[in-house]
Amino acid sequence: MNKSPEDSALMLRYCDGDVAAFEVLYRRHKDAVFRYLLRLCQHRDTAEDVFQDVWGKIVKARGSYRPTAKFSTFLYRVAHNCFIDHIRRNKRHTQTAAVEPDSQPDPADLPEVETERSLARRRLEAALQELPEEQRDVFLLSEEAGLSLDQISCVTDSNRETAKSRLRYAVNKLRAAIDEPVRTS
Amino acid sequence: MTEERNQSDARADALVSQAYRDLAGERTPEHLDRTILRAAAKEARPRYSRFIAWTRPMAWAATVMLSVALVLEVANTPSPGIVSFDKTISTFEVQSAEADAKDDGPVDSLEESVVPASELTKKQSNDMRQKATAVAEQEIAPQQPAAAFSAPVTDCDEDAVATPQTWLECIVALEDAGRDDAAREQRTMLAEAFPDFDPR
Repeated sequence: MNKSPEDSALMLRYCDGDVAAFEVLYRRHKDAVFRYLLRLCQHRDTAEDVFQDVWGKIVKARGSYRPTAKFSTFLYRVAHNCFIDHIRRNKRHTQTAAVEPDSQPDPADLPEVETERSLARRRLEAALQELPEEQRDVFLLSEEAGLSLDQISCVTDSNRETAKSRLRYAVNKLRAAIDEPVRTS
Repeated sequence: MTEERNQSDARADALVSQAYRDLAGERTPEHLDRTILRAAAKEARPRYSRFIAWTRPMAWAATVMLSVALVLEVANTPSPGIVSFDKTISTFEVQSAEADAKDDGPVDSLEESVVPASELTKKQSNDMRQKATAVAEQEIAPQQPAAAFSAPVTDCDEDAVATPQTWLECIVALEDAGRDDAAREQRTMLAEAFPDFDPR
């Protein structure tokens, strides 16, 4: 079985003008980056704007890209910085509506046999939105990007212990939300 | 040991992770895919095409401008063939005579054939003029400044100096025209060429 080319190699090929390499790279990361931004921004339109900005910066970086770090670290650092820039430019993200997942069923339509697992997912969604921004950022970088603590600390410009602490707090809160007994409104 | 701890620290709780995986099913909208891939393809195009796009017309324009400038320069340059040689000839004769008078030794080429004007007969004078004209055309005329054009047509031509009488008539005409210096010079030359002729 052929080993798929590494991200950095694909990016270097794109730097040499190979558009197909970029397409492979893009399709490999696009959904994870989109979900990362969607959960951070908590607004689909905003997430789409920032997502486009992120990949625009990656494309522009083709002339200066050097594979000094893992590509995913570079990619999520760009995404993180774009999100921070967006916050600074526009404060509306604090007043935006929450993300509504496409497949979210209406509670009224839930059959009685709805599993506890589905309810747990709904509670997880709510708990994720209630997390402080820094904790949510660290949790998403761990889950969506699969970054290590060192890489997360590099992306978020914080030290390793801070990243570790934020991740632990985030996981504990989400775990508590999943384990929480079903509450009816 | 430390590495394992790091890994376990980095990975969220398995249950939380699984729950999140079930939750996170959003995909990138297709219109974003198209937009980004189009931008990436556009950025990857060779940049020299834009460079060539403006350098080629500029090269053509520069070539045309240089050609026009060259043509105008050539058209404005005066033709070296339109020069009055009469004054040049007379000057050449005087200079040659003076040089010959100072140096009695052997001389080279053109100077060898030049003799003092006082010894010239009419025929010798005509031969001298022809030679001097040829030399002037080759050496002097091309280097003449534009001022040569503005110099008035001077003195007496070949027909005028054919006989002492016609030469004298020419001198009188010069005096009537107010060109006393030229008339005086012609009188001197007449006296030297025809010492027996009485101009009065």
